Parts: sequence; C-alpha cells; structure tokens
Amino acid sequence: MIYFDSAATTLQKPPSVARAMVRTMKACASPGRGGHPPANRAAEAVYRCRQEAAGLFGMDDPQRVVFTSSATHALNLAIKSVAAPGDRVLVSGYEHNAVLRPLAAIGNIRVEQAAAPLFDRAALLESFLRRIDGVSAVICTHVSNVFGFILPVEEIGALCRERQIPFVVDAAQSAGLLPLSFPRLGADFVAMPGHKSLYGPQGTGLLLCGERPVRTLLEGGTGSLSALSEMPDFLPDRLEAGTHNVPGIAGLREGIRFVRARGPEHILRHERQLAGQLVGALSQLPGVTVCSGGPEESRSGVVSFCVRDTDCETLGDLLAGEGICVRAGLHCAPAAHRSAGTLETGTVRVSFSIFNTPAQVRQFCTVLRRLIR
Amino acid sequence: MKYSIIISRSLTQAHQMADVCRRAGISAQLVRTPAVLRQGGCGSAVRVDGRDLPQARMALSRAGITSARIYTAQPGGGWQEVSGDLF
Repeated sequence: MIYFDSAATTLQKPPSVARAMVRTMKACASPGRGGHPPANRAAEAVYRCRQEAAGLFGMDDPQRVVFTSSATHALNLAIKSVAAPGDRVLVSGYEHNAVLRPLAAIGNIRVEQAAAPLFDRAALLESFLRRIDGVSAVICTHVSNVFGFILPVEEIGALCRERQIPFVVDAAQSAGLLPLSFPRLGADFVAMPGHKSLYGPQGTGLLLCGERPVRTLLEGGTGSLSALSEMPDFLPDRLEAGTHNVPGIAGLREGIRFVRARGPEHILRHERQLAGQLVGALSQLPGVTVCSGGPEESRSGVVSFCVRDTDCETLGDLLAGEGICVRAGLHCAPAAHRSAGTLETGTVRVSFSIFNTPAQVRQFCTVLRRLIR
Repeated sequence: MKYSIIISRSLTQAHQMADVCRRAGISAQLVRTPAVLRQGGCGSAVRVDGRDLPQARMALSRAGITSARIYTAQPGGGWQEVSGDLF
C-alpha cells in the first residue's frame, strides 16, 4: 500500500508512539484525580507532553498549551472566544469548515474574505490590509489543506497586533512541518491536530493560547478548585474539563519528540521534494491540471490535481483499488475550492509525510498514467 | 523531618514548580493539597524539605512564579503559613 493522505491523518507513525500509548493504557489513571501512583504517572505523562509541545513552539509557559480532541475542537474554543453575534470577522479564501462552520453557528456574524489571485502571498496580504480595519477578529489558516499553499500568517499577525485585533491561526497543516514560533507569530490562539504532522494518534489536538480571555465549550471536573461551581479562570484547567485522553497524549508526546529530533525544516524539505517530483511528473500527463500552491517556497507537501473528463471521486476509488490512498472531493474546504474554481469538480489530493519515498511517487505516476489512458 | 508545601493553582503549575526546584538541585515531590489548606476545593502542591525552602523560593521567583501560598508542617500536626515577602 502507498499512503498519500497525510493531510488528513498521518498513518505511519514512529513506533515509539504506539509503545507509549500501550504503556500508558496499562499504567496510568487520571491526572489530578488522586495522589496515588497511577494518577501521578498520568499527570507526569500529560505534563511532559505539554512541555514538549511548548518546546516545539517556542513557548516559555506550558500552562498555555491546552489539550483538545482535535484541531476542530481547538478552533471552536478559539473562535468562540474571539467572535460574537454582530461581529465582522476577516478570513482568507482558503479556510476549512472547521473555521467557517463555528462562525456560522455563532450566528449573525459578517464573515469577510480577503480575496486575492490564487497562490499570491503579496496580493493576499494586501487584501487583508485593505479590509482589516474595524474587524472584530482575523482567522486564517497557515497552510491550505487542499493546495498546500503557505499563507503569510506572520505578516497578517503583525497587522493584527498593530491594531490589537484578535488573531487565530489554524495550523492544522503546518504544525510539525513548518517552523512555528508562537511568540514570533504573535497570534492569540494557534489550533492544531495531533494526528497529522505531529505524528500523534487520532483524538489529540492542541490549542496554544496567548493572554486573551477564553470561553469554555465544556464545563466539568478539572481536579482543581472543586468546591466552586464555575470553571477555574486559569489555563489549562479552564479549557480541560473531564478526563484527559492520557494514552493519546502520551503518544502525541512521542510524535512531537520525533518531529523535534528530525526537525520540521528537514521534514518540510523532504515533503517538498516529493511534491516537486510529483508536480513535474503530473504536468507531463495529458489532461491533468495541477493545482498546487505556487512556487516551491510557498507550498508544502500537498498537491491537488484534476483529470479532464474524469470524476475525481471515481479516480480516487480506482487508485484505492490499486493500493494507493489519496483523498478526493472538496476536502471539507469549499471556500478553497471556490477560490480555485474547482468547487464543482473537486480535486484529487496527494499529501505526503516523512515516511513517503520518491519510489512511491514514481509508482503512483505509473499507475495513474495507466488509469487515465 | 520538617517539610514545607508550596501550593499551586493547578496540577500543571505544580509540575512546573517541581521541575524548577529539581533543576535547582532541590528534591521536590508533587502532592495533593491537604484538605485543611484548600481554598476552593481540591488542588496540587509541591513538597520540599523545610531546609530547602529558601532556595526553592528563590528558584521559583527567578522562574517567574511569583505567587503561591507556603506552609510548613508542624511537629505536633497542623500547618504554619510561612509569612514574609515570599516571591
């Protein structure tokens, strides 16, 4: 099998991830829910992951690393902390439904889109600048999950900071892949999954928090200030009601350790090389249109393409039948497809991880050539 | 043995405090906050040898942890709050 769907979930993980999860399942209880050894071991496992994540993202204070069940969960926490009915919120044209649906659910929010020609970072930044004054919040993805286009989030963050506008970054496709410093980014919140480029298990996610107040989505036990009926006002407890996913978090720690040991820059370079190889090969195939994030420096390891007169879902199924796993359709990001003019057709998306090889890309191209002949 | 506990606001902060103490060469253990010392319900604390308390306070202060309640266990039972400009 060739697995090219890492923008959804990295399937291959470092072996240490599963080992840590099994060890934790057998030895750990709930952090903060007792002073006995299994509870203490759980607390230790959770804290060490928090510390590891803080280290990866350049944060001094692990208390500002909040565990969530996914990037979607993290984005919901962040978005519902900065946006309220009646607000004007500015987003990019590459947003995922994990951003757009929470905004729609709040209701009575004017969502404005910073429109710009596809994969043009300078024009996109200019568009944000034109529209930013007077908005209540800016929410922006770091990397498009459809096209691998890297958005200028540091520059957008600077615009927000100058105006003291809350800024939320969706790092679902960048965390672990692009060097990401929370202090340098200057965002109020950065949301990410554990199960993509951090190589952790499904059911894990992180929300990196700045100084802005946060609203709870869930209320419940935290093991702290139990006599009070309100949630604690400090992090991470305020946003972590209920029992933690301790095995998942222990696995995530190992994933993050793997990323730190390899270095995000090295992983990005590897994925870019594969993406470049694929784009080069696809552009030789008749009827294939490649939609990938512009020049190499503005794209990650994600490549989308369409084949003339071929339904993308059918092609995805045919590839699956050949033992090749890709993602076809709209990738939960209709706004991005609308921006690219592929809303009606969707695309086939190939996305890499550190475990993919040039030989796999060659095999993919051989199979694809045969299928579309 | 005379020992002191430094009460943290959260389990995460207790871990952070214990790490700071250990890095300063002080043996530190995470404990549950004794019921009589709780303010607002369950919580976590860091236990250190009473002789290490001044050094622990200094290390925590240097690490930017500037507020915490501190108690020293009394020989006959009970706790005495450590007063003074702690952090």
